Amino acid sequence: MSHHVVINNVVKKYGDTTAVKGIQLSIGKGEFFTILGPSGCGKTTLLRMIAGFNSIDEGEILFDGKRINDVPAHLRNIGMVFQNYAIFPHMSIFKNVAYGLKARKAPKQELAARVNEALELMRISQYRDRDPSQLSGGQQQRVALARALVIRPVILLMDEPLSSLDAKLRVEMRNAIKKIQRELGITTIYVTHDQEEALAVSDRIAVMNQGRVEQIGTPQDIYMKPATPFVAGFIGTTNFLSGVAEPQPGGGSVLRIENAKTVTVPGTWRGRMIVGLRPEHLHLTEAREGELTGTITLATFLGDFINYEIELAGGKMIEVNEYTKDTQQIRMVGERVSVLPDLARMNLYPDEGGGVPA
Amino acid sequence: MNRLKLRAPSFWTMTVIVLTALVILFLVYPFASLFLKSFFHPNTGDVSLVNYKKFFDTPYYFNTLKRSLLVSTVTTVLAVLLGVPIAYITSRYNVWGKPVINVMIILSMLSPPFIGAYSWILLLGRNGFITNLMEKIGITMPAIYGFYGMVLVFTLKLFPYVYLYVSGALGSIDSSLEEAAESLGMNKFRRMLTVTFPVIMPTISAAALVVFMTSMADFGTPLLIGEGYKVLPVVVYEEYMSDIGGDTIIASTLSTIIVLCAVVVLFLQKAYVSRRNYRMSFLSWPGARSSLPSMCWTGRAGCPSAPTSCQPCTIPSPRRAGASSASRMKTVLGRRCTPIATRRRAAGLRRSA
Repeated sequence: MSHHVVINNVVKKYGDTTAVKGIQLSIGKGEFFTILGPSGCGKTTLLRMIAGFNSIDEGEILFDGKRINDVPAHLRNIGMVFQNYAIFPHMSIFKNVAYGLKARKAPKQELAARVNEALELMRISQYRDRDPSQLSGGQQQRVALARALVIRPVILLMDEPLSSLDAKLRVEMRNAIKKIQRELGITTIYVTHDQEEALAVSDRIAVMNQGRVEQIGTPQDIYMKPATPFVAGFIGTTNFLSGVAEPQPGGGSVLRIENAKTVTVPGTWRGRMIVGLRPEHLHLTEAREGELTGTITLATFLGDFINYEIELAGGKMIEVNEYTKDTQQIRMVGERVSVLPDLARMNLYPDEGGGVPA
Repeated sequence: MNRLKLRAPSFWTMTVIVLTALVILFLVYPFASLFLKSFFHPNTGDVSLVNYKKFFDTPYYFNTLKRSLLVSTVTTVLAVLLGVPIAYITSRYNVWGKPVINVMIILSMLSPPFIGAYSWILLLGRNGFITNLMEKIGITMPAIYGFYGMVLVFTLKLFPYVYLYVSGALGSIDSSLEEAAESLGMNKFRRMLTVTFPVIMPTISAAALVVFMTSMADFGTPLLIGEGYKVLPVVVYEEYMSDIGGDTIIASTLSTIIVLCAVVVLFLQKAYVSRRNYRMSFLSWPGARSSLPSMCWTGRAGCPSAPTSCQPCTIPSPRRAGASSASRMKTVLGRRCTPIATRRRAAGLRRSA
């Protein structure tokens, strides 16, 4: 049923600016694929190109091997959920959900049966005769999803569907969306700027920045092995340190971090490096020679962990998390400590002249 | 006893009292004296409906009501049929010279309606330019005077209201509604009929109301172009101003009937809109509250492609509609200047220009 979506070197230009700069993606049948990126990175533009609301300036998009560049939006058989739900305000919930079937001129009985089925699936049957204005945000979201699914689309597109819900409802809805997606096995392309949401729902994530894809991978890949400093900084928190590497004759390289600590790392690296370390991959000890050493400037107790802000000897600020299950003591502001990196979790990027991100 | 001590009324209480007094003095009092006259017997001075009986029994008077309603209804239908498609086309497609079209439409709204009537007489009247031209090549033009002329002038004069209201609404309608309809498989035409127009229906009805009331109350146009086809305001004028045989009591009866018609239509429109009061995120309500067509216009010009973020207006609030009906009421007495609503709109245009 579901299509395999291939996006081939797709480009979108608005006057002089290029919003989407040659994107290459391949999405599997039944996959929950998320396009994640900061606002203005071109993710919504790409989604709208798939939906047919934006023209494709270069490249092509294929559904099941069939080029759809010139297929008008209303013939693409796509279900779309909009950021603001876009519920038709002049129709009851039932009529909203039935709209797509009316467009397909479905027989009356089948229409009613399928609409009821969709309402049931989204658990909104009791609101079928209400007006949209009588429904809460979460309920409207369910209507939007029911309306998109009732037409049995080949692909489900979701454009930041949870961004106008409050935090608690967002978690509830994203779980509901994930379950329904699994249940129906429908290929889903989901656009969001919320990295936590992306990690929670996706099978795979494409991280976009400035019109390009920075990395495609599973949530674990993207979090544990970010391909670029941008991805490392955008997904979760990463401390960036400067380093200088020198390859060793016997294999591996010697890396000197922040001109304070020397370690041996696998792989051949040479020259200036950016070292990415997440707050939970750093450990604190009493100050020692030959380690990254600094002073605690802020300690924030957050229940399951304590977040420390540490100023290193060179003036660089870093964040370290210590989990309360691992430690009894809370360190004091002003205490001098050494920071031990977890070398296995450390990510290295060659510094291509951009410098170390803040 | 202390609790009952009188305090000086607060500033807002005073404001309310003063405003109420002003309304009574300048609005209620003159109209009341006019309307009340129609409820007394002209000879005995008793309270009676004899004037209304006379109105309905005398075809000369009663026909004017029928004519007024017919002219206004036909005008409203035609203005909507003309204004809505033009607004749809200019707001949905890149029409060449769109700014020029907009300016011309606003300009045509700035002049009093009878000037439009007069220019049509110059073109198509008995000695009109086109009439004479056609006569030379042997074609006799149909007469512009009477019902058709009135409808022609009113329609062309008043469809800009529909155009401006509807362009504003189309500009501020959430484009994702139309996109949702599109992605659900509706083609452009059915989408327009099932989503776009129903959503802006309250705006269309408000525009229709303005057109209906303006054409109903207008005096200059029917006086110039109506000739034998007399509508209510013309007869009111004649009854008041005629040196011989004038009947101010029947004039006030006719005035009351005009106002009653206006009120009935106003309430019908309000009832219609209140059933379709979409309290949804797709319209910006602060803007809608101050919905002057001029703002629609700047909204269209300023942000044609950003529908959700800056949308100054769409659905006129009932209060707005009420204001226009009040200005309509002031025109009952024949001596019709530019109605207040138009003047205010014009001021808004100048401000925004």
